[in-house]
Amino acid sequence: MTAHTRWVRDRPGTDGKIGPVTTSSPATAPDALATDAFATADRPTVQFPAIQDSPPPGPPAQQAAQPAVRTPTPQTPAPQAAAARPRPRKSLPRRIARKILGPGLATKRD
Amino acid sequence: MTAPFVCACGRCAACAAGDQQVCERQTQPGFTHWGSFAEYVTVEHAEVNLVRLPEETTFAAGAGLGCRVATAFRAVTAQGRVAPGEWVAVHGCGGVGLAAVAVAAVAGARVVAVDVSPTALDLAAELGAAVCVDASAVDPVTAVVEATGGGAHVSLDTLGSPATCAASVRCLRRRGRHVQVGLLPSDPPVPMGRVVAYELALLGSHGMPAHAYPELIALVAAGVLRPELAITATIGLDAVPAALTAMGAAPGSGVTIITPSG
Repeated sequence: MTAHTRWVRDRPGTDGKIGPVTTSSPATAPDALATDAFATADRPTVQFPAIQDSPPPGPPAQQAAQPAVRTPTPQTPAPQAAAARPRPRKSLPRRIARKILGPGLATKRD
Repeated sequence: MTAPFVCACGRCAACAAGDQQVCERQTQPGFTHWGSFAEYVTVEHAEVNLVRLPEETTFAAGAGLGCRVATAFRAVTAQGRVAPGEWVAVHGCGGVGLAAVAVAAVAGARVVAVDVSPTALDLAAELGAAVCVDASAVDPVTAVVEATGGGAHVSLDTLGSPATCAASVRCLRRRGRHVQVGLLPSDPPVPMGRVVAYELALLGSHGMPAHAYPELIALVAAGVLRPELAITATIGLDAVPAALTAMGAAPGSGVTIITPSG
């Protein structure tokens, strides 16, 4: 018995039967649903690239004996986001500030 | 024409909500009634389940649309919600896994394929996998985490075993999404501590409803998705019993399709 057979047998709706089953419509069945009734439903989905701009997969690449982990050619690292980011302002340590500005200006004022 | 392997009743609450893939009174050809290794198959509630394919669709491409490609498509897009640039790990590169690799690559993701078969990994690379991990030689969790710089955003267990399920969960980065596609013979132990600590999402994926097919069919018709690339053998109906028996002993790589004439 395959995993799928067990799966079908054990699931609700099949009554544990494998083989021909008879289905019956419930007494309260609504009108038949059109297949495309849900085609316009607002469901999140993956945006594929424009079909006309997407070339089909290329021919298989010739490969030699493969290592356990095959990785692609290292990509050019993305520009460091930190370079464009303004550096946070650093306040001078109070001891140095006192030396530069004098004790009065370096003292925290309430 | 094709039909989802989960044939819906069209009348239950799940169907009314558009979720025919989890219909409360579903039927599955070959499991709840006779099919699918036959020249003719009965599809009940045809108005809910039949999907028209473009005339130019080949039988080889159409053969995969009822189950493996559609299942992978929904798992990657609707459940995994894969975004371009994200890392996607696929554990198990059989029929569904190879289709998941192709769909995720087409969606712009960077795919890590995991399998124990070098031949299956070769196919995965051809279908768009950026990284291939031989799980028979290295720890797949460590390899995926290293290859993705901290873990995959989305990981799919397309095989269905306790080992691949746990590996799929453990290879995720924080707030990653695990999608369970492969059917399991029994409920496996899942590292729930990691699920809590990393705020992981565990999702199931079960086929695809008929009304969701147009987007998939458009990709196939445009040649963006090519299900036939995973086909490695074509056999006749007479050869089916031997092929099924062999699958249990020595699983092959790629997809075998069956034609009435052989």
